[in-house]
Amino acid sequence: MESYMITAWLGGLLIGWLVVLHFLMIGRGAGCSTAYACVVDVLHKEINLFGTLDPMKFFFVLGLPLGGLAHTLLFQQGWSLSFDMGVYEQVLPVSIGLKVLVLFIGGILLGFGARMAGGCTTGHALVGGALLSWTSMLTAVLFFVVAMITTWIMFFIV
Amino acid sequence: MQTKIQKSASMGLGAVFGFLLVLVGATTFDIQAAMFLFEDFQLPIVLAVAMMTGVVGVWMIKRMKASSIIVQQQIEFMKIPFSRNLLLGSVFFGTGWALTASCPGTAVAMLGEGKLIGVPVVAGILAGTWLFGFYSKQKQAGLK
Repeated sequence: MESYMITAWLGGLLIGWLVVLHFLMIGRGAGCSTAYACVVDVLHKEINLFGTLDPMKFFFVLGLPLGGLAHTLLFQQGWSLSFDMGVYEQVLPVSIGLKVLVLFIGGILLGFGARMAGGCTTGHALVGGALLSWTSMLTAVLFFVVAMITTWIMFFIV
Repeated sequence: MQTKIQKSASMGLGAVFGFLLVLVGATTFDIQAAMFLFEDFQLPIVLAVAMMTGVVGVWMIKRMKASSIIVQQQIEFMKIPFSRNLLLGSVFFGTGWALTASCPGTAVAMLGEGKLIGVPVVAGILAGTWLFGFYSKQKQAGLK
């Protein structure tokens, strides 16, 4: 209990500073979902679907798995591949194919929604929150409320 | 303008961010579920502390009138303007968040941890982004 509180407070503090450091070093806010638009843009060179994109977002997201790998090697018991989703195993389909389908559809909703809303959790909650942008904070709250209601439906109704 | 230094700095910051996301449990499915079911408050605390720290930091940068370190230019504090699209987008995004217990950042960080759940999710996000690009292009064309 106590150790997780330390992790949460320390982690929150460090993430907050990282957002600030990103502004200070790169000169713009951090963000994750724009990177996907960068990839689509490169795959679809002939039509410009998204207007001007910040290519640095792509490199930012490219760094993410390196951090995940570093944490696994340093603090977890060895690196291994897994397809386990913890408590979600109870609510997602048992068959691998259907499970992949649900996750893929969930991903489509995330990608479509993030572009439609102009950002994801990083851009709206962390960066928008740091800028005290009311629009971003409202969006972040909506993300959370919708996700919460859907989770309740998944775990208690379906 | 996009020097190698800028690219590596972005990637370095991303690596630190990925590390922190894993550290606080944002890539752990049970911790995501516990947040939405109000069973434990680890992630909400992380978010709240990160936001408060960010507010203080941004206030300090603005006060110091600092310019960015790598490319000496004024720091852009861009806010996203309100639109009705934002509300509908939030509904899609929130539903996706619940179904996958991930978001566009954590799904990629998971890949580094060896969590293969991230593969269909990342593929889906790419497909969704692509779909939105076409949808908005079509809409624009329709307006002309």
